[in-house]
Amino acid sequence: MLSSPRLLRHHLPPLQCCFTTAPTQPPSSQILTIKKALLSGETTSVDLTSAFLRRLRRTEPHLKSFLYTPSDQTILQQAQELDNRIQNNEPLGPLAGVVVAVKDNICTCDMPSTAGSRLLENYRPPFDATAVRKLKEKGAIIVGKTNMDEFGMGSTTEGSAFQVTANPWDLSRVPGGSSGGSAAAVSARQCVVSLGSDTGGSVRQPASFCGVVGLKPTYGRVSRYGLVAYASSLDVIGCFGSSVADTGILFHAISGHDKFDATSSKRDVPDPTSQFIANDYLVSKPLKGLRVGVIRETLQDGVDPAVVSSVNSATSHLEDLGCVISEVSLPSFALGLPAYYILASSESSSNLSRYDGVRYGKQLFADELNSLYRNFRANGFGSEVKRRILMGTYALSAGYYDAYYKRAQQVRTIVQKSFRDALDRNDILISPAAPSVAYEIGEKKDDPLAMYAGDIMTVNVNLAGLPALVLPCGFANGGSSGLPVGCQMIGGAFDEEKLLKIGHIFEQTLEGYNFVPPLVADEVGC
Amino acid sequence: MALTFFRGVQTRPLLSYPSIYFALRKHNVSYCNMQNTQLETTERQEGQLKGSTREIHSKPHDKLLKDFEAVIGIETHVQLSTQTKAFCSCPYNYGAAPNTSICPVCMGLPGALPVLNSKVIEAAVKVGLALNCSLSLDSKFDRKQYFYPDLPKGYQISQFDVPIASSGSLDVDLPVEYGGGHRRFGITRVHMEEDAGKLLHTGSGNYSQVDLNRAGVPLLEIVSEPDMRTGIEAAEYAAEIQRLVRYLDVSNGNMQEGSLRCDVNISVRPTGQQEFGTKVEIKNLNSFSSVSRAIDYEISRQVDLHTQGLADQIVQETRLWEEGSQKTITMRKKEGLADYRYFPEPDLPGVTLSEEYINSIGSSLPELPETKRRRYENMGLSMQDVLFLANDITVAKFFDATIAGGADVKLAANWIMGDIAAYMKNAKVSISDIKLSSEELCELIASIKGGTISGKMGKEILFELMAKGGTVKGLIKDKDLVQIVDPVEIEKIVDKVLADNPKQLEQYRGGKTKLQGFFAGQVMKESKGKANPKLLNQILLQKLNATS
Amino acid sequence: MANRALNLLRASTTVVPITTRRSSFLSPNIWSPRTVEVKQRRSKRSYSTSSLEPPDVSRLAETARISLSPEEVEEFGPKIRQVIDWFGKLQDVDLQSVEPAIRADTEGDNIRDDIPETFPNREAIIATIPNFEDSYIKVPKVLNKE
Repeated sequence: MLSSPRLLRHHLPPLQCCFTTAPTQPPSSQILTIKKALLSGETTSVDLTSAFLRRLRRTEPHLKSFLYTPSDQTILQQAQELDNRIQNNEPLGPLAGVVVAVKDNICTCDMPSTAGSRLLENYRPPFDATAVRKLKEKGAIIVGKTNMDEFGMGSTTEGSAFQVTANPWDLSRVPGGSSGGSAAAVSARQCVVSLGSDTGGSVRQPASFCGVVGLKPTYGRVSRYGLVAYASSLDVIGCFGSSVADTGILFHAISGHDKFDATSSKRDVPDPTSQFIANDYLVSKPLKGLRVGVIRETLQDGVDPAVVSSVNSATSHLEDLGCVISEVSLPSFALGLPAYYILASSESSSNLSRYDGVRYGKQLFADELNSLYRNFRANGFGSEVKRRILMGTYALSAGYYDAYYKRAQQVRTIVQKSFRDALDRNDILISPAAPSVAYEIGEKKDDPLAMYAGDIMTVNVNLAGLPALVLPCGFANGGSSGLPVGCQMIGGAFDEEKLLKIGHIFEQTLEGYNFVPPLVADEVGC
Repeated sequence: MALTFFRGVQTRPLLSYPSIYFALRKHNVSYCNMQNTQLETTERQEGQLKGSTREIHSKPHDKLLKDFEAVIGIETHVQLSTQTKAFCSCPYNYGAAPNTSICPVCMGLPGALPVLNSKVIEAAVKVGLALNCSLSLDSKFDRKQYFYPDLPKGYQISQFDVPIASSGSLDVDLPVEYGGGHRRFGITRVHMEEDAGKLLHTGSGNYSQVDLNRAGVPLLEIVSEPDMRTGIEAAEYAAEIQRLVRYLDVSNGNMQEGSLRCDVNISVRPTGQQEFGTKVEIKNLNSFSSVSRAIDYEISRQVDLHTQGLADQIVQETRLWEEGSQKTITMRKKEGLADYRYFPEPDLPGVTLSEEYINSIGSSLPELPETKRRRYENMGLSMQDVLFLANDITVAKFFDATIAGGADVKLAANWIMGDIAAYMKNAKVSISDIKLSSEELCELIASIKGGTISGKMGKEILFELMAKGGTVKGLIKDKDLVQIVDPVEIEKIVDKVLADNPKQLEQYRGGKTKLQGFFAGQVMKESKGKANPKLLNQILLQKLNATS
Repeated sequence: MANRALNLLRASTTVVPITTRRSSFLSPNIWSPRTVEVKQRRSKRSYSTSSLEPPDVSRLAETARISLSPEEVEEFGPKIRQVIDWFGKLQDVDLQSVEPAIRADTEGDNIRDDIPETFPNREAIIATIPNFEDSYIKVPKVLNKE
């Protein structure tokens, strides 16, 4: 039926021609810097972690990125254990000493996992998500669970049942959603990297709003086992970092085949670390010959001029690096949005049926079974979640399936094909990550359609299952020092490696921008 | 219609599998009964059955039944005997303590995902091939959505519009007692799905209890075409499904344990009418005989309503068979069809079958019951014998092995159906448990046929062979059982016996010819049972009738 | 800013799917008789939502086992109808020869062997059960027997 995605390797000139000599300087990666510093004795994990914790505790009352953090003592104990291992010359994992935050819809058995919902308040899963298990195995120090829109449904994180997270660039604005907490935490340097989830843009849009790097991997690259399901055919676990390199290293650490996820891919995941070389070692046109397609439909009416302008400068920058820029048209682009919402509501209405009060959740007394179901769910779910469940129930009802769900699946086929065709002629595609910069808190609350419209840049990528990288590329007016704008790069299926290479070079050669929010700028510096 | 009888041999010891069915040879009529859990209930049930059938039927009623035709279809759920559940690696053990075999997947915890067990596909393909179905090379799973406490995810993973197998058939031989005959019933589809847990209703009624050990256990759903017309046909169809899944070793097919569940769909229409009548579903059938009886009852009920002009009282509904009162009662009326909001299961990839895979499964299938029955028939065995021997694959294998060794077909059949079956019943063992091997049975038959030992001797050592094992040759030797066929030897013993019993001899010669039996017994005793009976009587008679 | 985004939804874009037929999108926020008229004229289209009942929020809530307060029913109704109307945009596209895609391509046969493994943390599962007694999960009585 659908042919497997073709790798475009043979179209791209070998990237070896980008380097002049063998690199000796460390690349721009905090993860690698940390590892080097720990190994050399320059710092200890306890010191490093303490610094992060201080900043976290200082900024949390303003940001509220976290729904849960263990005590400092618990966290520092892990740091101490790592220091002991270093003392004993034991081998260190690739994330040794890296302070990580995890979105609260990813199961952690030693911390509550609420998915932002009152229904799962204090719920302790009896297992770790595979991605979390891998983090732990590779030496990461998990500093807490981050705030999110309930069950992933939302684009501002205001949909959380518990608290509103603020954008570190402007505390009166949202960080984006649904992985707002994870984006804000990295942006405010409360942690080095974080995990989020992306069903329709929930990693990429917050990355754009918060001025950090966000990676949505190919569907099937990262196991979904332990990710509280929203829309099963669209959900992926994604990564945030303050640099492409860090984001890439985190991605490599958590990806790979998992026997507990039948949709996970068996393909090898190349280790991108060696690609993250310092810009001193790049030739003058390191991306020479790379074909970049700018998606015409994403820079038209309805997109903030500041966003258009930032993405255009990003495109120019890529051209300076040697890329061949052209415009591509994806005619089915606008169709993807209603198709996405039909699929997402329908699948989520099914995935959320298990929340019935019988096996987990707060104890509720009822004298009859259906009362238990009705009341438990009424008390536990927020409004947006309830509405989506109802819409999904409608769309899947007998007689309506063909009109909605099936059609949405057919649109998915069209979207997949159009991306495949465009990526046959281009190495990557470019678009904004969102049609605007961060909204003000409360701006979108009452108008679902207006909120859904903000996902126009991101949903088609989920429908196609492709990987995409968002990195900050400019600013728009707003806040005390402008509001960041992110540029989205979309790659061919399973070709995160290319995205990361290009993103890294883009980032390292981009001059004149400081993407550290003023809130922590004095501490962190540029 | 009266009782439904089935033939078969106890396949497993009573302790593990409460449902047993056994054969008794009585007056050349072999029959056996389906039992519920305890042996003691058999007699009670038998009594009940006999009574109830007499109640239902009378001559005028039977006449009315002839004006109507029943249209019956059966939905069978077969619980697969895989080691693990369908979508997780939890083991499944019937009777385990509640909620001990659970994990995040079968509990429907947030973040859990299903992963398909390869053996489920294998079982589905085996059954599909055995039912002569077309196999779908690309099938998929779908979610069937409804809320119930024994359904953790709020949906059941099943197959909706693309089942793994469809359009097949099942060949069935009706019991000899009901006129015998061959039937072929259509199979609409076979698909894979997962079982729900168990919901127990407590006595007080305030609350219910859920045990999720069974949640996620793999099932095959087999849907028949509405081709059956009588309770007997339906019951035999169900029995054949059981036979088939046991032959294929994909399930233990136990109705009492719930590893084989049958729901019946039945409607009646005036004979000759094309249109189907209103369909009624019957559930809670725990044995083949209740399948038959429930159908009989329901046909009567519907026909009665028709003839009284109350046909509109037959509504599309689900009725329960009540074993106690021997009738169907309304469970709930169907208010339109339930909307299960089916959609394709996004968490599971499609199921793709290759030609190689299908062929390899096909070539691994054992000889199926239908083929076996035809083969046995061609050997010259009576239908009664055929049905008995082919009922259980382990018995059939034993039989086949015995005759492969050269044993006479009819004799082998008789031994198995008679003494061996009786032993198995009394000792509560299966044919795999008895110490007698098919080689030794073959040897035994040959020894008797060849005259080495007498038939009576054969029966005796058979018992020991079954209980303790050993070889025929060995036992003959140890027990000195070789038949005496030398007339001179026998003559000696006869002479001795006659000499020892002068009084009886005189009486015999005086007219009491019945005393021949006494003498024969004495000679046998004297010969330690080894004298060839035919020769013995020949020589004895000769000697008795001699004047001196 | 909000309006700009909505304009994206309203934008009239040409779609060229498998066939070369061009169609324009109707504004998602308008459901008018004129819309119905337009749809009826295009009799060759495979499906039309005009024959479907609009969402009945109370009935949907019952199916989805969620109690809604009267206020919620009143509040949700228009919002849901608005979104469902917007879903109707898909009716204008000719999708006749297009196969539905269940998800992005998954690779390989991800099935497992039939080898038992006991979940190591059963106690933690039991610990999350709100009503657990005598080894059973306790639920209120069921009115309708399945």
